[in-house]
Order: sequence, then C-alpha cells, then structure tokens
Amino acid sequence: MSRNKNKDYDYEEERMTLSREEKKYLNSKARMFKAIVWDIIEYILIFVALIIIMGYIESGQIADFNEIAKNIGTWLKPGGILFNALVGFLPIILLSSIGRYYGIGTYGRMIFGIIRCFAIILWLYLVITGASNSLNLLETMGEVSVGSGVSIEGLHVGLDGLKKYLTLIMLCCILIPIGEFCGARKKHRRALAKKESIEEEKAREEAAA
Amino acid sequence: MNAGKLVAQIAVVAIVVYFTYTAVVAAVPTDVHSMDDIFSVTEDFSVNTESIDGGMNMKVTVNGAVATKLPQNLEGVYIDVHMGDIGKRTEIAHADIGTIKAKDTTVINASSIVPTYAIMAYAVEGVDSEGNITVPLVLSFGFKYMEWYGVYLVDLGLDIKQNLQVASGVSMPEKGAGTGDSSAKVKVVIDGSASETIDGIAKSLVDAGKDDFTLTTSNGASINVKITDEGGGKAGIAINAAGAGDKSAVDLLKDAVGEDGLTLTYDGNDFTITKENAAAFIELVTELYKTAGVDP
Repeated sequence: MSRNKNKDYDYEEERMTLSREEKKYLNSKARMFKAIVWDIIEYILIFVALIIIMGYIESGQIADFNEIAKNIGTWLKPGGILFNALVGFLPIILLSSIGRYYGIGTYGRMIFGIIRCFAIILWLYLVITGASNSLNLLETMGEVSVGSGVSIEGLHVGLDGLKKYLTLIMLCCILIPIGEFCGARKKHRRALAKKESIEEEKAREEAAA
Repeated sequence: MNAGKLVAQIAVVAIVVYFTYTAVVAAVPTDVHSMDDIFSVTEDFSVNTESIDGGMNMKVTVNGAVATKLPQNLEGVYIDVHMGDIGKRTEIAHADIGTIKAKDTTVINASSIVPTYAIMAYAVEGVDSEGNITVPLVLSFGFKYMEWYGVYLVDLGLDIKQNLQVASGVSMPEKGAGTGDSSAKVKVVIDGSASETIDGIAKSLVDAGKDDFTLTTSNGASINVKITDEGGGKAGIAINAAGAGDKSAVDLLKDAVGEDGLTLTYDGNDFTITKENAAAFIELVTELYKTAGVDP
C-alpha cells in the first residue's frame, strides 16, 4: 500500500513486488547470513559481558582485561562449566541461524525448530553431566564470611532435578515450531504463489519485449 | 500475528505452570505454625563417646529421633564433620541419616569414629605466627526435597566452616631433625590457655598413661607423640616422625596405604583408617616435615 498521500493506491506496484511481510514466509539466503552475523556478534558480547561480570564478582571492580584474565573464575576456564556451556552453545546458535534460511510456514523452518529443541536438551545433558550433576556455587567466589571465624565454604546444588525439569520444558517447546508451521502454512503458500506469478509475469514481459 | 504459534506458546506455558504448581503444592507444608513443626528433635536425644582402639580413636554415638510435619520425605540426608583445611581434611564424623519420613518421627542411630591422633597432629601443624593454634572445623549437611517424577527439584548441600582457636600463647622451642632415619621433630609448648577440647584430649591421654605413644606402619614408619608437663601450667607436645633408611615417614606412609585404607599399629594393636583420613594424615605429616625444615 502506498504511504504517499499524493499518490493513489498503486495496485501495479503492490501486485508486482513482495512486501516485507510476505518475504518472511519465503526462503532467503540473505536473511540466513544476516542472522549468522548478528547471532555471532551477540554471542561474543555475551561472552565478554560474562567475563567482566565474573571478574567483577571476584575482585569487586571492573578491571582491565589482563587483570580479568589472571583472576578469571574457575568456571570460565577451559573445562569449567561456564566455558563448556558457552562453547557448547555456539553450534546451537549456528543451527538456529541456518534455520532462518527457511521462511515461516515451511517444513524446513519447523524441522530446524524441532532439532534446535533437541540440541538444547543434548547441550543441557552434556553441560550438567560435565559438572558431575552438582555445582558448588562458591567455587569461583571462595568462602563467604557469615560471622567471626564462621564462613560458608561450599554451597552444593544438585542439578539432576533441574536437568529433568528443563528437559520437560524444552520438550514442550517443540510445540512452538509446529504451531508456527500450522498457523503460517496458508500465508507461506500465498506468498509462494505470488512469487511464482511475479516470476511468470516477468518472464512473459521479457519474452514479449 | 501467527495464531498457531500463539496457541502453542499458551499450551507450553500452561503445561510448565501445571507441572511446577503440582510439584510445589505437594511439597509445601500446610499446617506449620512454628519452626518446631517443620523440624524438631525429641527429648531423649543423646550423644555418647567412648574410647576405642587403645585410646587412638573415639567412638561417638548419636541416638534420638527427629519429628517433622513436612508433607514429603527428606531424602539423602547426611551430616559430615571434617577437620582441617582443604587438602588435609580429616573426616571426624559422618552420619548418613538417609530418609526423614514425611509427617512422622524418624529414629536416628548414627555412630562415627573420631581419630585422636589427627587432633594431636593438628595441634602442632596449626600454629600460626602469633602463636595461636586454630583448627578449621567444617560441618557439611545436605538433603533432597520436592520429589518430581523420580528426581528432586531441591538438592542442596552446605559446608559451614568455623575456625576454632584451640590454644594461644604457643611457642615452638624445638624443630629440626629428630631421632631415627630421615626423621623430623617439632615440639610446641602451650602456656595453659588451651581450649577444653585440647585440654581434655591431652588430659585423657595422660590419665590413661598414654602421654608417650607411637604409631607405626608395617613398612617401618613411626610417628611418636609425647605429651610433657613443662611446669607452670604449661603443656608440651612433641611429635617425632621417622622413616627408614633414605625414605621419610611420608614416603613410607604413602606406600602403606592399601585398598581398605591405612593400617596403623599402636601398642601391638592394629587399627585401620579410611583412605581419605589417611590422605589427610599424610598431608599433616608432610607439613610436620616442612615445619621442621626437613625435606620430606
């Protein structure tokens, strides 16, 4: 629809171009590459933010990076739970970015959505098993003093229950890409039909010219 | 707006809320008015100690019952008491209570062995530059609660550390090589301001005629502890660790640790300590060598 008040509704333009909304329902390589780039930038920002937060918790001040690297918490070192979690999450991020190639309402988008849920479950199991199902919350911070000569040295949290609970949530989440597929199927078909008709028309115009 | 996606999202939220709600409702007590309703200890609760293994170990027995009005069992309940810093931690009490039954009274019969030798050894290792002996005591306890399809949503363990100052005004008049092959000796003198624990242990050993005892291993390591009256209310504790030939007591103790733990001999009687306690004991003896300035 033309937003220009001086111009009347341009049916020809509407008919011959795909709108922003319609493009969402069609496959697009450009969208996939854009998603990969943005997701990786976001991932790096989260990684850096976590390092700064961990450094802050440990030393009480936002130090320069060399300082943080020296005092970094055990969780963020290779093999530490946060490190494993962050590195293990990269394939999941890439998987969902690649899934953006497919338009909403396609089988590809739905299948990638379902695979992503299972990938998160797998990631959850690997990370939690890697932490031997129990996490000492005070491992990175050291002891917490609660009075003269008394301190809390360890706070262990068993993760088995959490693992099962989050697995259930992720299994439920499989419904979301399926629901999205069902709800967008019609729009996807319409957008696809429009794209085909535009292409046909263009081909016809070329042939005529 | 995608209607299908919206319906799916509402369904997911509903399922998650349902599961969470049922798990929490089943675990939260409804008839609780005070802390006693959650957890109370019966009046006949008693702790008894007796000396075993010729005074080398103390057996602590806990008898009693715990009553609770919680609607679900508390599972995997344990209480551990450890002594010493991380790395040379001796378990001095362990109670696997297991299950505390829901809305019921659970009888607890737990016993554990407190190693006297470790407490004595710590008296020498724990001396700081100001002449105080501090012993870190760690109480660990944990439990699982809120059952949810075979797993527990709440699974907590807490380690509380207290640095107990057991003596002050401690001096170290002797340190260096002791008597025997590859040996090290440290002697401390406590000016009488020791805590009841140390006083009590020292006194009970002196009373039992065990003011001079030697622990040995089958491969020749020997650790001698001598308690002396230094006059003026001062007590002296001297520890002499000796190996055999080129091997220090530390090396021999390490070699002597077997599958079941470490077997020590005292006064012709054998007693075995667990692997974990053996590791802590060896760490203490290593510290003894370092304090004495002898390469272990």
